[in-house]
Amino acid sequence: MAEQIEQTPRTDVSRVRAWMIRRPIATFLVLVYATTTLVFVPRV
Amino acid sequence: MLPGGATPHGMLENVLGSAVPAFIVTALVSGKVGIRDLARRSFRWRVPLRWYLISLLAPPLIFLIAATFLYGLAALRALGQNWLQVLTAFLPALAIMILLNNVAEEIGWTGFLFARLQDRHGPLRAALLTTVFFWLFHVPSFYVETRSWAATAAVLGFLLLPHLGSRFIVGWLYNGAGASVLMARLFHSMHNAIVMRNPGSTRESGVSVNDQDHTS
Repeated sequence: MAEQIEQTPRTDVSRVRAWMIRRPIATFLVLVYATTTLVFVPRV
Repeated sequence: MLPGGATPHGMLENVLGSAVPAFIVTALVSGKVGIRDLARRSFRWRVPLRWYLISLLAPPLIFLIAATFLYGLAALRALGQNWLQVLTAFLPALAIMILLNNVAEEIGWTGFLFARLQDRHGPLRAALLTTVFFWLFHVPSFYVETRSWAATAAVLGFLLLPHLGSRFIVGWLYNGAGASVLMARLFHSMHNAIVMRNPGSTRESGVSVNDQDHTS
């Protein structure tokens, strides 16, 4: 059980990483829109 | 604010919101080889002279022809009377655009997104898809400039066709010059320097919203 809990974050990170590698365009767009929103929100 | 209507937020938006994501994803997917390739395409300057001429002269020519069509010879007369401003205001604005603003913007939109979409869908469909994402990318900046969702929607509606046209031209320049993002940057910078010299235009859009422009 403890082993499982320890492994969970690493598995999540590797899953996210694998998804990003499989979907580079979607990853790029997520980063672009998230960043521009964060840059501009403080000005509104 | 910097000469030519460039703002620190605009630069930050382009660097953090376009070039940095392009390099992060490229590093993740293709490693050092991909980074080197993206950097090489981003700064490829050894291209035939005609691509420099087209990138830099096409926007002013298009604007001059359109202005002459709309306002007759008055447009050319106004240019002749204010030619000194080309040196004192327009060229500094253009330099700022090339060096600070559009470098980062085109690395992401042309060097990364258009190039990848083109590999999968061909140049025309890639330009079309890039237009949609590039168009949406401007929503936050237009809203900040106008402080009104109605004005933002109006500006976006007005700019859809120009954005589509510019993405087709930029894609053509990029491919024609042998995958040079620099040519895309020069065209984009020249276009922005022209529209942002128009008093009363919003910084990014070039569309007049005099009463609603609150940017300092």
